[in-house]
Amino acid sequence: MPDSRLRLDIPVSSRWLQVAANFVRAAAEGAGFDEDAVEAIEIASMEAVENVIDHSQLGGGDRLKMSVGIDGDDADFVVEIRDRGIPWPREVIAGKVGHDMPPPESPRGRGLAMMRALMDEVTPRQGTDGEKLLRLVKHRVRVDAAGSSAPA
Amino acid sequence: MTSTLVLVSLSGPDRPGLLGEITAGLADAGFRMADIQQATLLDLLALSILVDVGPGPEPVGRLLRVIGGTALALGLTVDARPIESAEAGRLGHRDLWALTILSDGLDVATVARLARLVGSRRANIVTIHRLAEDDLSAVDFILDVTHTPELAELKSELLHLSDATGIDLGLQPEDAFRKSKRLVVFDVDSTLVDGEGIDELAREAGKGEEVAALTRQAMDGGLDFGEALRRRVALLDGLSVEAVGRAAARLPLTPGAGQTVEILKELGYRVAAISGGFDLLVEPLKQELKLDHAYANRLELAGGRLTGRVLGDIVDAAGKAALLRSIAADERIPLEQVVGVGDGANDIPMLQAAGLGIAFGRRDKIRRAAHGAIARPDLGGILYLLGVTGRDLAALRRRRRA
Repeated sequence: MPDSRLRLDIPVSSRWLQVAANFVRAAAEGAGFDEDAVEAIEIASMEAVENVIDHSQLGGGDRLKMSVGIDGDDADFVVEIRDRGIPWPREVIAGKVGHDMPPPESPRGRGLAMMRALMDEVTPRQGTDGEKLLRLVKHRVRVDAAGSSAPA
Repeated sequence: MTSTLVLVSLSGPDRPGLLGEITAGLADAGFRMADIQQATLLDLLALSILVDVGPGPEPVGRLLRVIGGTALALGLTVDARPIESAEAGRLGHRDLWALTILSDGLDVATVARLARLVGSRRANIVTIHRLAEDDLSAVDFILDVTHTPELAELKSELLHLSDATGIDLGLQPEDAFRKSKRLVVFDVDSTLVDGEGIDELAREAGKGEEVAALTRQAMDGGLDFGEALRRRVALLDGLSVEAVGRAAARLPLTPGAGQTVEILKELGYRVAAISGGFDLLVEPLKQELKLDHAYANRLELAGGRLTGRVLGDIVDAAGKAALLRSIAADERIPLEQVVGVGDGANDIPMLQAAGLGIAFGRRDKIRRAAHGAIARPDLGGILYLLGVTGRDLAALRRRRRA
């Protein structure tokens, strides 16, 4: 696939959730993932988008920008979600939370853990200009002529 | 439920047939196209399509599948932005103005200053087109001024930028009349010709200093235009027709004047000259440039010499504007399709009566009153303000050679 990218700019509103889901699904299918991987990418991405929508009630921007594309020579499939909502907590940026599923009584922290279970890389970043970024990466799998698969 | 519009912008390497592949996908899916714009620079494409996908967000996903798959396969980057009905309403009523910049070659620092200035007045640059054929000497910026509170302030600041950077500019509505002008009316002294006719006549009469003193008095406001003209003409009493001819011959055409008038005539414009000077100097110009109309003050002759009197009404500022309206009426051309070009304060009413008024030269008062201001001493720039491109000019040159 050539080096190219799909970007979507939508209002932060649950009305647009299905659009975001279709957007990610179409790109993942286009990148050649099997249905299980497509579903994993879609669920992880929608979890991230829902988080943005939930947290938007606490303030922040009214637009959400998603981009999907194939990055670099190692051909990773990358989903990036940007918004201007409340910043990431420091412990999230530092990678101290969100790796293991929290206990049932914990009110928070499930989203990042679930995304990490579904994707190969999950990286939250905080821009100096107030923009918040979540980068989700799925390594692509190359299928050879004999039908066996290996990481691309 | 109202339709959802999606603005899809595609960018990346261009190649023949690309637009066909993109639009075929949209057509097959039954989407309607509400608007389209495309630009290419070298081999890079920037294509924007406003797609009407029907009511609700659901079809937006279908659109993304259709266009995303094709575009990614073609190596394009795709930006998609659904536009809800309230925003679409705002986008539909845009007040667009064309800002034409003429320069020796637009540099990036000037573009940065221009863009900051425009942005500070809440105007947005919608598109940029190079008008000159192979350099950046003429560039059109189409501005959306829908949210600009005072267009006059934007224009005033653009003139400051012009003073500081040496660029020339025109600011006019980007509407049906912008590129459909049909009549161009020029002032004569210091516009079509490089000099002042009265000064040359005074030199022939040996009255240069006296005439200059009256001119200064009129310019200082101590004497009205008509009275100053009559007194100066009185000083020319007895000057021979031959001497008037010598004075006319000493007035060279302004650089670019001959070629510009020739191109205007070739493109089908009617061309006129209205002078606050004298018919005996303007008539040879009318013949030389094949002007369709020429008006000036009429000098009385007796026995081959000037009598020192002016016949008929004085052609002053109000007279020039009235003559412009009269020529337009005779030619059945609406004033919106008329261009006025002049350099002095007495040209201001004429320029303001025209759909496009262009100030030629550096006089501040007229620059602020006009739509366009050309300070560089070449009339050729007005062609770009009329929307003529370098490509058009090259095609005309080729046609003449053929």
